[in-house]
Amino acid sequence: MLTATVNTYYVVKSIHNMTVLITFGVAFIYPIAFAIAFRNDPRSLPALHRLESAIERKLIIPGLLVVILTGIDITSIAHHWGQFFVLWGFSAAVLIGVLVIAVMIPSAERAAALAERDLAASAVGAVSLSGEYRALARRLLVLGTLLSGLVLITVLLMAVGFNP
Amino acid sequence: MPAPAVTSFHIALAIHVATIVMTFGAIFARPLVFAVASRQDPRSLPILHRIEYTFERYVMFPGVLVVILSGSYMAAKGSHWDAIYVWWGIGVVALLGVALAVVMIPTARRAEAVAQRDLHSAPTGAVLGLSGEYRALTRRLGVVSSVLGLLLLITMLFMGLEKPY
Repeated sequence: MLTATVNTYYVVKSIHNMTVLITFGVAFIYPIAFAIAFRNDPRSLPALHRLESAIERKLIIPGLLVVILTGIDITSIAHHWGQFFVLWGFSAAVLIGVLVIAVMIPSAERAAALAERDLAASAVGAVSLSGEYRALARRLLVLGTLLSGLVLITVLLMAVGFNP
Repeated sequence: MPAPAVTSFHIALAIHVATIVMTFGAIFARPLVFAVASRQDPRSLPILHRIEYTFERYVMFPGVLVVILSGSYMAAKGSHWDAIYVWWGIGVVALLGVALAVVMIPTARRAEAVAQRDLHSAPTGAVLGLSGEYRALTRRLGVVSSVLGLLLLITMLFMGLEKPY
């Protein structure tokens, strides 16, 4: 039975929570996806990097905007400005946005181009990926993992902060 | 306001929420991933299906168990067993587990095999034509994952409306 009064706060909070799930959940699949592609089908790596870039441009950036806007709304309604978990949340969202736009998307596009070049230069049946590509792919993996960790810590802080 | 004390309820809640984001969130990117891959590079479809069922088998499936256990602990701790949103939540997550085991994982495996067969039978350089069988399998995957995604969102809405403020 729904006992709470359904008001703007709950509706916006639900949109906020749902958008977090829709927007950031996909990032946790990246390490597994690239590990499988490296082992089983390196020729699919350029396509995977292009997908990574498309996900970040079409899903993560717009979703992040919705998360920030709904976050501002629920913080204003609940008068939570100044709370540690709110400041952390906004800082994390801005940092994620900056890193995705400035580093993740350009690096994924560069990795796709490098992988394509290396695959074109490889003999049929023998795939050889350059050190430049491997370094860039490692940087993407490390940064992606750090960003996923940041999302997770923020979600945990929110869960505890909003349920004292 | 003083900082809240962290209790076992908070830890269960944190595990519950983190598991949901880490394991179930990927389902929402599926339509975008397969739409972009089908248009830009159909040759990547078999590996995408392999990634799909590997993630479902080794991450989502155990995630279902963790979400049910942590949710049950919170329901017991908060004496919420009579609340409809608890049973709705358990029902949806259990349904997700069954759908993964019975439909999603076997269908994605079959889709990988059929896509590979279609790719190998296409002449080099020709425009890739995927068979009706492959399209039927991906349509089934798309419909089932969309229904599961919708159920997850409705469940989050239920849970969000129930949280005290």
